[in-house]
Amino acid sequence: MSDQMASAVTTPATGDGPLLRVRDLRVEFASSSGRVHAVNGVSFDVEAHELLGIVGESGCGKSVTSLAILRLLAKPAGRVVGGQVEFDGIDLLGLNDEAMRDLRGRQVAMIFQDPMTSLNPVTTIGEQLIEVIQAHTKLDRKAAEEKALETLDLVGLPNAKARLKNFPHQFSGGMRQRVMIAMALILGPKLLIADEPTTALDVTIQAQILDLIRRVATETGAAVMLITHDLGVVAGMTRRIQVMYAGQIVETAMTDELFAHPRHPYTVGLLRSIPRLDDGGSRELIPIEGLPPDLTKLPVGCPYAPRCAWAIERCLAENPPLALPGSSESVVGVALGTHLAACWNPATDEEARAGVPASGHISAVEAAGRDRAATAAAALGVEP
Amino acid sequence: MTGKPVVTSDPAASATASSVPSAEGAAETPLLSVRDLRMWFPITSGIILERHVGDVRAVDGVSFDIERGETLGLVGESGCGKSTTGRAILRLYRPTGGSVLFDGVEMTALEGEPLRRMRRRMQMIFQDPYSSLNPRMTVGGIVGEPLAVHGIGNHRERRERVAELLDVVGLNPNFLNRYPHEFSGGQRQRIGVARALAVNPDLIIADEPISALDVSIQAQIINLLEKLQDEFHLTYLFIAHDLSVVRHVSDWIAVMYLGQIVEMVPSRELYERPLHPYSVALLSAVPIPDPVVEGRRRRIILKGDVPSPAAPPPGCRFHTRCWLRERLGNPDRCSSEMPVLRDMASGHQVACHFAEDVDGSAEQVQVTGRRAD
Amino acid sequence: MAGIALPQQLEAPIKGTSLWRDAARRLVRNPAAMVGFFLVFMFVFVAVFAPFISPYSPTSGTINDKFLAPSLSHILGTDLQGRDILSRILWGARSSLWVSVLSVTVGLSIGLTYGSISGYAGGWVDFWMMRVVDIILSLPGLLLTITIVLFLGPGLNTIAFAIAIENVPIFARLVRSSILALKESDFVLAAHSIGASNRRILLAHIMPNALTPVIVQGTLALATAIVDAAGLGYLGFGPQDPATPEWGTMLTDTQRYLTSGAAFTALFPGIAIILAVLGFNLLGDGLREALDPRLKR
Repeated sequence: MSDQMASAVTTPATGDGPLLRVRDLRVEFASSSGRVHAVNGVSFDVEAHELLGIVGESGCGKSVTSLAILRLLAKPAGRVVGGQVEFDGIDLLGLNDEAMRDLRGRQVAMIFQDPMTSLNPVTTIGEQLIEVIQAHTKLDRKAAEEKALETLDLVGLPNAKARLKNFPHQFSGGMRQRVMIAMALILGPKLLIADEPTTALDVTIQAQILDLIRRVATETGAAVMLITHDLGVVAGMTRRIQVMYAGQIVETAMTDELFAHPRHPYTVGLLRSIPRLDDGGSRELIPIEGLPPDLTKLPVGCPYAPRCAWAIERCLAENPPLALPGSSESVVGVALGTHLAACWNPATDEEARAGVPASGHISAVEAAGRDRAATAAAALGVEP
Repeated sequence: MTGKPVVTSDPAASATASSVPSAEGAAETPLLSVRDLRMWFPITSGIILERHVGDVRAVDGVSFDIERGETLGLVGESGCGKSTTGRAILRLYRPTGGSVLFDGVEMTALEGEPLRRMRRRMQMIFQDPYSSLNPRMTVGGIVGEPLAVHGIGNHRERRERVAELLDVVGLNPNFLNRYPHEFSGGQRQRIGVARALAVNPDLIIADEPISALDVSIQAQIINLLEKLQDEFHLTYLFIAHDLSVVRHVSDWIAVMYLGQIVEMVPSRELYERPLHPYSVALLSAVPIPDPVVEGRRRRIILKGDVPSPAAPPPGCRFHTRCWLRERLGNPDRCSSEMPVLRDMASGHQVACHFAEDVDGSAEQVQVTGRRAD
Repeated sequence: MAGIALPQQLEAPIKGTSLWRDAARRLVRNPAAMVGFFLVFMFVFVAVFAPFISPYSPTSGTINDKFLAPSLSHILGTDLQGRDILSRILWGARSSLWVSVLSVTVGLSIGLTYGSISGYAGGWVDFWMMRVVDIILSLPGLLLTITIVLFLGPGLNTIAFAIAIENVPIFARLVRSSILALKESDFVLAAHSIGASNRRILLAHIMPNALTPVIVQGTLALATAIVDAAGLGYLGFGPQDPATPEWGTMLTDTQRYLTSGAAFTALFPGIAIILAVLGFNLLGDGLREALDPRLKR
C-alpha cells in the first residue's frame, strides 16, 4: 500500500486513534412478533487503510451494524438503543441529520448487495454521479462531469464517456456494481463499507469486483469493511476478520490466525461445514445442527449454546464476553488483531481440525435434553 | 461405478488414442441419456402480428449420460442453460430438439397419460424454498400431493407415508398440519425433498437446492441428500453454480457455458486437471477458505460479460473472452469453427481446439495454488 | 438429527396457522378496518331487518305531515309527502344491498371465470378474450346503461345488471394478472413436475392464491356499486314505483330542497350513502393489508 498515494486522494485520519470506534452498540427492531435484538453489544475498531472482514450468516447483525453506524436504519422500526460510534473523533450517533448527510458519501460510503435497487432506475448514471458530487462539493457541472469520468475510469468501466448517458438497466450486474463502487468512491471517503457486494454476482464477475475493490482501496487509501457470509472471499481479501453470530462478535483475529487456529465452535463449525475446492472432494462435511436463533427470544447464556457441541453448563447460564481464548477476563485496550473469542470452552487445534470436541464430551444441551426425556418417560412409565 | 462418457465427435478427430472401456457398461444402460438436447425460446417482435425474429438458444446441443446411482453435477454461471436443461429433461418445457432417453423411453415425444406415468420416476427439488411450496397448503398436503395425483394408497395410508417421509428428511412428523410460512428456509427445503421422494423416483433433478440457504444449513441438506442417495439408491442430476459444492457431491461434472457443455470430467479431475480455458478461469475465480492457499493462487480475470444467448458468438462461444486464444495470437479457428466435445483420456472430454495447450500451462497449475513447474 | 428435541411420540400433533387465520388476526387488530366492519355490519343488519325495526311504513304518510323537522316521533323528520325519512332510509338500505350484492356477485363470478380461462390458457385464446374485454371497457358506462334500460326498462334489477356488466372486465383483468404471475411460480412448476392435471393445478394451487386481490376488489366494488346505484337511481333509472325507496331516487326527489329549511330531506339519504360506502372502503383497505400474502418470513 502506498501511503503517498493515499494522502493524495484522501485526507489523512486525524490523530493516532482508529478511524472507526464502535463500543457496545445495541440495535433493536420493533416487529409484530416482538422486539428483535439485532445487535447486542458489539465493540470493535477499524484502522485507517485496513481491510476488515465481517463474517456471518443472515440474521447475525452484520448488515444492521453498518446501517446503524451510518444512521441508515429504517425508522421508526429500527433504533440504536445503546453504545457509541466514533468516526475520526466525531460522535456519529449524536450528529444532527444534516452533518450526518454530509459525512455520508464524503467520509464514509456504503455499497450494497443489489445494485439494481440502490441505483435510481429512471436517471442516467451520469446524472446520479454528478448529483452526488454537487451535493457535497461546490464543483460546477463541467468539473463534476470530469470527476465522474475520472472515477468511472478508476473502476474500470469501459467507454465511460458514452456510458454516462446510460440507465442502470442497460448495464450488466457486474457493471452496475462497478458504478455503485464509483458512486461510493467519488468523494474519496476514508471508509468504504461493502455489504455483500458480490453475493448476487456470478463467480467470475465476483472475482473481477473483488479485485477491483482491493485495487481501489489500495489506490485511494480507503479503509474497507467487507461484510459477507463467504469465508472464501474474506480469506483472499482481508487482513483481519470478525465473526458474528446472533448480534454479537464471537471471534476476531488476523485472517491467517483465524483460519489456522479457529477457537470459537461456531467458526470451527463453519469451516468444517463448507466444501473446499481443494480438499479432494471426499472430506466429510460436518454440519452445524439446529437452526439460527430467534432474535426476539434470545436465550440467557451464550446464543450459540443450543447448537454447540462444545457447550458446558456455564454456557447455558452466562453469555461469555469477547476475551483471550481460555481466559475469562474481558479485554480492554488490547492490540488490534489480537485473537479473541467469546467462549467458555473454546476448541483446541486438534478439535478444530477434527471438527468435533474431544471424545467423551457431551454437550450440555444434549445432556439437558436427555434428562428431560428421561424425566418425561419416567412420568409416563415408558422406556426413554 | 464408472460413468459412460459420450463420444459425439468424429472418432478421427480424437486427440488421444485412449480407448474407453465401453464394454463395461454394455449390460446396463444408463438411467438417463441425453443427446443433442436443444431448448430454444422464440423471440417475437411486432404489435399486431408477431414475427419470429430470432431465438434465445438457452440450451444448444447438450449430451450426457447418467448411470444409475451416480450423481452428475451440472455447473455454470447464470445464463449458461443449466436450469433450463434440467427442466427440459423433466418435460416442464417441450424440448426444441434432441432426445432424452429415460430408462430406454424417449421422453421428448411423450404426452398425456404416458408422460404422467413417467413423471413418477423423476422428480425435482427447486431452488427457492420460499416459492416452491404452495403457501395455502399444509405441509402434509404438499408432501402427499404426488401420492394423491398418482392415486397411491387411501387417505390413511397416505398420511402414514407422509409422516414417514417427514421423518426421513429430519422433520417432526407432527408438523404435517402446519403451513410453509411457519418454517425456516432449511426446513422448507427438507419439505421439498420429502415431496420429491414421495413416489419413490429413480432420478432426482436438484436445481440449485442449497443456493438460497444459509451456509450452516447447506451442509445439513448436502448430507441429507447424500444419505438419501445411499438409502434409496437414487440418481441425481445436481445443478448448481457453486463449484465447491458440486465437486463435493458429484461423481461426474459437466461445465456449461452459453448453452453448451464445454467440459465433462470425473469430479476429482476437474480441480486437478481442468482442460477447458473457461473451466480454468472458473476454478481460479472460486474463493477457497484458506488464506495461505489464496495467497498463492493467481486469478484469471475474464474480460467483459457473458454474451447474450440470443446472439452467441460464432465458432467457439467462449472465444470472445478466452485467455488462451489471446495467448495463442487469436487463431481464426476459434471464431470460425465450433469445437465439439472430444475425448482426452479416461472419459475426460473437452470442447476446445487447443485443449492440449491448457494442459500443463501456468494458469492450470496456478488454479490449484500449487507451485508452477 | 441432534438430540435436542423431546422424543416425538410424547408430542401432540401441532395445529398450524393458515394464512387466512393470520389475516383474520391482523384484520381484527386494525382499528380503521374494524370501524369499516361495524358500518358494513350495521348496513347489512338494517337492510335485512328493516321490516322489523322500521318505526313507520316507508310509503305511508299524509301531506299534512310534510317536512316535519327531526323530532322524537320522527327521528330524521319527514319528506315532501309526509313519509318518515328514517323508515325510508332503512328500507332504502335493502335496495342498496340487493343491487350491490347482486351486481358484484354476478360481475365477479363471470369475470373470475372469464379471467381465469383467459389467463391460464394463454396464447391466442388469452389475446382475443382480452380484446373483447377491451371493447367492453371502451364503451361509455352511461351509454351502456341507457341501452340496457331501453331493453329491460328501469328498475333495481336493471341497475344491478348494468353495474354487473361494468364489473366483469375489472374482475377478469384482475384475476388474469394474478394467474399470469402465479403460473410461473415455482410451486406451480412443482405441481406440473409431479404430474398434476391442469384442472387440479388451477383449482388447488392457482385459485386459492389468486383470491386475495379478488376479495379486496370485491369489497371495494360493493362500495362503488352502492354509489353507482344511487347515481343511476338519481338519474331516474331506478325503481319507478314510489313504494320502493332507494337512496339515489330519494336524492332526486329532494335535491331542490337543499337550500331551503328542509335540507335535511336530502342530507340524510346522502349521509346514509356516505356511511355505507365508507364502511366498505375501510373494510376493503383493511382486508388488503391483512391479506398481503407474506410468502417470506
